[in-house]
Amino acid sequence: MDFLQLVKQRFARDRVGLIFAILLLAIYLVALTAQWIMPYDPMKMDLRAVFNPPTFAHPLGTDQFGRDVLSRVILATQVSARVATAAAVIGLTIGTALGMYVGYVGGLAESIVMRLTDIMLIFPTIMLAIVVVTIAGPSEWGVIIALAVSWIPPFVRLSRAVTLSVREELYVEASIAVGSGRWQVLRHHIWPNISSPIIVQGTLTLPIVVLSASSLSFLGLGVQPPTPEWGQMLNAAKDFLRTSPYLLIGPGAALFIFVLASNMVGDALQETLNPRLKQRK
Amino acid sequence: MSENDILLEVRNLKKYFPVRKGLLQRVVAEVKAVDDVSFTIRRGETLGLVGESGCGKTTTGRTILRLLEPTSGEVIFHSKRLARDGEEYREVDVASAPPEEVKALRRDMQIVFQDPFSSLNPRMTIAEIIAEPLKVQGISRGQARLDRVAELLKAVGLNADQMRRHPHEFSGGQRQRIGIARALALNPQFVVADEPVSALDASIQAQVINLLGDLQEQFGLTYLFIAHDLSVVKHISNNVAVMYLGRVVELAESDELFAHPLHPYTEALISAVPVPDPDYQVERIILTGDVPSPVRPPSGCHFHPRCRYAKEICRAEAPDFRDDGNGHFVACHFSDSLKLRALKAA
Amino acid sequence: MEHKTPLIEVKNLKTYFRTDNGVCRAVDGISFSISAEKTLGVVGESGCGKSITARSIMALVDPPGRIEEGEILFHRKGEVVDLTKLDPKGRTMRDIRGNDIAMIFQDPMTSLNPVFTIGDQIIEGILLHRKIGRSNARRQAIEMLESVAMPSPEQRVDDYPHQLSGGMRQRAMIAMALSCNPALLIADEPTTALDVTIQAQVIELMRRLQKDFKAAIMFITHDLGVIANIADDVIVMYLGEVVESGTVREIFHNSKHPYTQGLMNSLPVLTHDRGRRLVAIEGNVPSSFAVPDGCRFAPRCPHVMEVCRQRAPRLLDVGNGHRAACHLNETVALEAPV
Repeated sequence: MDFLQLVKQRFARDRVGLIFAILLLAIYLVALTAQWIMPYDPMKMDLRAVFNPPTFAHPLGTDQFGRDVLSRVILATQVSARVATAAAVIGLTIGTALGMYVGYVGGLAESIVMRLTDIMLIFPTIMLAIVVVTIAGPSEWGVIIALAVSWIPPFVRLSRAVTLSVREELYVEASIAVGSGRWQVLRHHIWPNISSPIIVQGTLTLPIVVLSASSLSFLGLGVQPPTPEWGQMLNAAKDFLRTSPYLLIGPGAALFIFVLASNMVGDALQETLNPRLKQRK
Repeated sequence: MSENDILLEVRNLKKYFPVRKGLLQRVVAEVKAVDDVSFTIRRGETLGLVGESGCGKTTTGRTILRLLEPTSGEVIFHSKRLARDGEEYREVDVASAPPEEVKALRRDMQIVFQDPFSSLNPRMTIAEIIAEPLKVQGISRGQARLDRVAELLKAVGLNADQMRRHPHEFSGGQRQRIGIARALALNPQFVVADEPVSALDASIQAQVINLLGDLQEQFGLTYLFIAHDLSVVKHISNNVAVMYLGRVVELAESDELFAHPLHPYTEALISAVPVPDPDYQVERIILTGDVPSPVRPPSGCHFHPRCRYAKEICRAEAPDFRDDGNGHFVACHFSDSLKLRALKAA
Repeated sequence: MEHKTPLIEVKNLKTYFRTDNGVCRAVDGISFSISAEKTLGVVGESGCGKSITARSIMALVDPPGRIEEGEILFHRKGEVVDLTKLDPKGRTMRDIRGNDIAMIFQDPMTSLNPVFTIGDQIIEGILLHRKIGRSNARRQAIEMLESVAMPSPEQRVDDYPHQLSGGMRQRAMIAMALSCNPALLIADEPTTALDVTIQAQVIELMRRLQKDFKAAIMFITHDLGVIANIADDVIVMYLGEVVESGTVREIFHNSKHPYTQGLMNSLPVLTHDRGRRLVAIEGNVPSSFAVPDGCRFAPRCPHVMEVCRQRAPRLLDVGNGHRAACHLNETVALEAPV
């Protein structure tokens, strides 16, 4: 049975998982349509209306520059979702391609790549990210590259491990026996049979990446103002905790929902994958 | 069929696997999986290769097809293909052919695997599985390719309109037929059948054995039939080679092998096979000890620790693989003098 | 079947698996008996329910499997116990398991614990049922290894499973199973994974041990050759049912069921001539989730009649304690003078 079919089946039964999947999709929807749904210009300052608590006109209040918090949160959703997803996807793609290749061919290439990967894995993700950002300079792309790079090693590890086991399957040997070259085998036999665990892992990576991105921004190393980003907004809000605590709600809640939803969806996908690993005879 | 119509000549084939240890992966020993194996197969015939685990029969099959790189030796393939202007003869040493040549040879030399469950990619439809050889070798396209797939499915007794299904929707026996269809896709001359029925239920085994026999007649195929089941091997083979720990210990025409075994291992194998008849009483030759591992084979004649006729020379010297005069080959110091027990009639 | 002293009587046993995909009728109403000190061969292909039958006797059926109906009467120490009525995890069943009824499996590598020595595992089995102290148990374990012809038993007792070959591991399993002198040994495909020369050794060993330990054996296999060599009585199973039962000679020389006949005709036999074409059984074994109406073998039977598709045949006595479930025999029986 196809992975997709299994996933559909799963969510048909698992109501809780379905709710989180919808939530996650909703966040991405907000991210995609941000430009159209923002009630106000997120950058427009109004120094006569600073620190307004939540009202009908401004459901999440205004910040220290009189900007509408709701609009900024919406835009921040776009920014954070973009940064996190881009970083995860780039890390996954490069890591998987590399891991698949060296897992399949083995030899010196594999040894070199795996040792490099091991070295990179010694450093905590956030530390690697800080180093890269310090070199590249704080910016959105800096964050994306930093996080993508720090996520390549885990995907190299994972894809190599799964490739090693698929490589031993008889159908791979059968393909070689009819004259297939390396590329043919990798594309038609290795990849389709390792894609499921890779995708599941990718989904589980999202929450961690978004937290890392937000942490970097919180530390001032990420997305720079005036572009809003969840972590960055939380950083600013912390200075006004006593007087205007409501400033935390928007970015805090958004971050929380995204992390929770992507975690739960990733878990559901992983569970869907596992029973499939038991082969029917 | 002329006497010289030989399709395959395996000469002194060796396949050794290095055993590596330590940080620097130094080679400390060698597993001599295939240790100087020679035999020939005539066009249209079946050579049965039989032996127990660790004897090297599967490795031999794969090395002949260049799925494993031979350590040394030759595999001379006498190809006779129908070209546009008559028959085309070619003689190639598969063991030393360059990669492009090997890819071309794959059209003529194919394999059917033992395990019907893992030899088919679960993500592909069986149309894709059977069409892959055609795709890789650049033969036919589009509808012509699909027609060929349908033709092959019919040839192996399956329904062509199931070609869009996935392997898990078929039974073990049906999957094995799909594997056979794939092996035939390129119209090979030579097929290595690696334990093709061992994983199947008894009632399905017969179907597949019959199918292989029919296809051989229909398409003029030559088989190397690898199996551990002596009964199956006897049934389907013209000639039988018995392997033990990397070496061929006996090679003879099928009936001759069972009527006059010349090697003590063959004698023991024959007597060990349980015949499905409660009144068939035979005093079994129970070999002592276990099948040794190919990592540390015994010295001299590998079989000597378990052989009830062994003498001092057997431990010291490995016997030559010699022809007794009638095309019956055996590797034993005492093949001339031993009176071994033949297969007892029921 | 000669009923010497029935040790185990299985009556109308039904073990079903209720899953999301439907009900799998793995064992669907089978009855047979095992005589003390004799070997019952249970032969059938994959999916026929022979392994589940063994597990049902041992009360080792995991959910979603359940014994739905039937009795398993065990004649133990003078009294009769119905094993289906016992709590599988309860005291009585645990006493019986290993002590009165022991089981050995096909793949000794997965049924032996890789992190304990074989000595430890045999000793554990002994100490569970006998209060004799560890050093006594160890001595017994070494004796057991001797009796299963394990080379150098005093050394081997401290070996781990992976240090032994397949044949030796199987011997260790047999030693473990026999260590408490059970009345019944259930062997589930014990030689299937072994090389033929090792298989011959193990079968020879089991025959000898049966005499020495006076145990009954329930020998499960798909290999007719092995059955012919070790069984006294045979039952043939197909898709969860017993289709034929009798002495080993009756089954092999005088089979009255097309499935059994088909199986025997489809085997390449070493003593037959090469030219003979194998007569294969048509079609495939249906799934236990979708059992055909009427006779289960009808879709593949070369002698199928109209009645076969409508009504399932019952196990009928065809003489000499030989029973077969086939409408063909009914016709014959009707024609025979009363």
